[in-house]
Amino acid sequence: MWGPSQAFVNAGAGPHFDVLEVGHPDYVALINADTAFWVLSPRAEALDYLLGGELPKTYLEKEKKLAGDLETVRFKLLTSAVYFNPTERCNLDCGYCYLPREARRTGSDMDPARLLEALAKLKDFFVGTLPEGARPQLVFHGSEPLLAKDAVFQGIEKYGDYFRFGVQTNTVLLDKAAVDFLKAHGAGIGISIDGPTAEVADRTRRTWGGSGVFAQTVKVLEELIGYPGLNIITTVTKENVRHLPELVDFFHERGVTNALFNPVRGTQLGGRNLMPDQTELAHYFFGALDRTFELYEKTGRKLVIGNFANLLLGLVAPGARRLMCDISPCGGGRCFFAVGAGGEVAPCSEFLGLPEFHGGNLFTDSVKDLLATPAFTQVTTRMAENLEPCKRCAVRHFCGAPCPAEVYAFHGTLNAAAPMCDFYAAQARYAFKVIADGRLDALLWDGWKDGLEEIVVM
Amino acid sequence: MAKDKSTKKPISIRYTCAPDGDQVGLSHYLMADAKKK
Repeated sequence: MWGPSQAFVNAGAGPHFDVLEVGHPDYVALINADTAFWVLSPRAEALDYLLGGELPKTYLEKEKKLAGDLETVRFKLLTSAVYFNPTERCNLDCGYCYLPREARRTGSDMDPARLLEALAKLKDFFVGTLPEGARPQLVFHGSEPLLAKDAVFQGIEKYGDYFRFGVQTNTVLLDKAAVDFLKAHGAGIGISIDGPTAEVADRTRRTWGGSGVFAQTVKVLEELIGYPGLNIITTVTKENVRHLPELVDFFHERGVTNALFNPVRGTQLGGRNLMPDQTELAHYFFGALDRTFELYEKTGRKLVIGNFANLLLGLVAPGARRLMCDISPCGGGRCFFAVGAGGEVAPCSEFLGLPEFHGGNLFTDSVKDLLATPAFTQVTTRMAENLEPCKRCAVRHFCGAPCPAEVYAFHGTLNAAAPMCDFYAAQARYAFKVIADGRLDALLWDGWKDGLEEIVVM
Repeated sequence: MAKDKSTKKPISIRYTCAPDGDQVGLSHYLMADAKKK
């Protein structure tokens, strides 16, 4: 009891474990926050696990591997993706856009020659930094990239063998010829739908004249069903949050297999004014996830909500996560960066509207130098363990205190917790409950374990 | 007082993957094929 022969939790060199209520009748979570290691313990035995010798002993035997695993995904990934805005303009005036309104209305486009010059420069950078054969991702994003369609398509045509391209579009200009072109080049096509009816979806996604685009978007969606590169984004706001479960049915009926339900960021005032109440968001977001499970049980067809699936991966396989908003440092400036229509470079699209986070310009500065500027490094060194109250939060590596751009817009500093902290903490607890319920595989992509190695602790 | 022992087993799941230099990490846009090769 008093000697060094046995490790005890929460003192000296013994591992630290927090206890977390996860809302499950039979289980609570015991979490080592530093390594993102966790055990779901039967409630009645939690204290036995904490005070007994087995958990700290077996944990310490694997601690180095667990820590190394997390260290890799937090600090050692190579930059391999670019969000590229070929125009400042947009043909819609969505209420929550993270880009300044004036630029979206009257801004400039990148002409084809300039865009090709930019892609050549990006390719040079990636060829010099990624392993041979690696294909970085380049997502034409917006604003509305198809307003610069000639330039975008010339870029895809010329560099389609090197970059894995994607286009995130509002579909207004996505005619059959454009769809055929993108499919022929294997490009990802991302579309945005914010509700299951025009009445809901058109509240936030409208033209400058105020008309909705729901009908056009659904038409394109139905044409793209079955295309493996299809991706759908729903931005969750106070205007549509109550309709999320209904939206799951809407997507599932149409054969959608993968969608993101992204809570709106409050980086710009429009988005901030549309942020949902966190309690309401949790209720309907988890309700939507429950609905995907019910439909999977009933039909055998999955609709994976990608941002939540990514959080589940953060719990069971942190190194396999695909999105980098829910870990710190986030992926901005580290796994990816953003290029604006004037060549300005920022850690993430969310920062494009914040000039103080522009590291420089793609056309005049080297990418390597840009990534090392203070505008980038203050983002790439932002770690939850240095923030209040995250430093004492058991789920800090399942949340990441997102999003730094939003935090900066709220507080004037990056060193603060997530404005939606309560929601993200609830989401982590819900994720543990999903695992305790035995629903992990049902809410994750098929084949998620492929290529992974299990770390058996207990 | 005797404590009731649960028939439930503890659950712990953790997988790792070796970094292969072709990691994919994105933000709010998920490429459909965005997975490790």
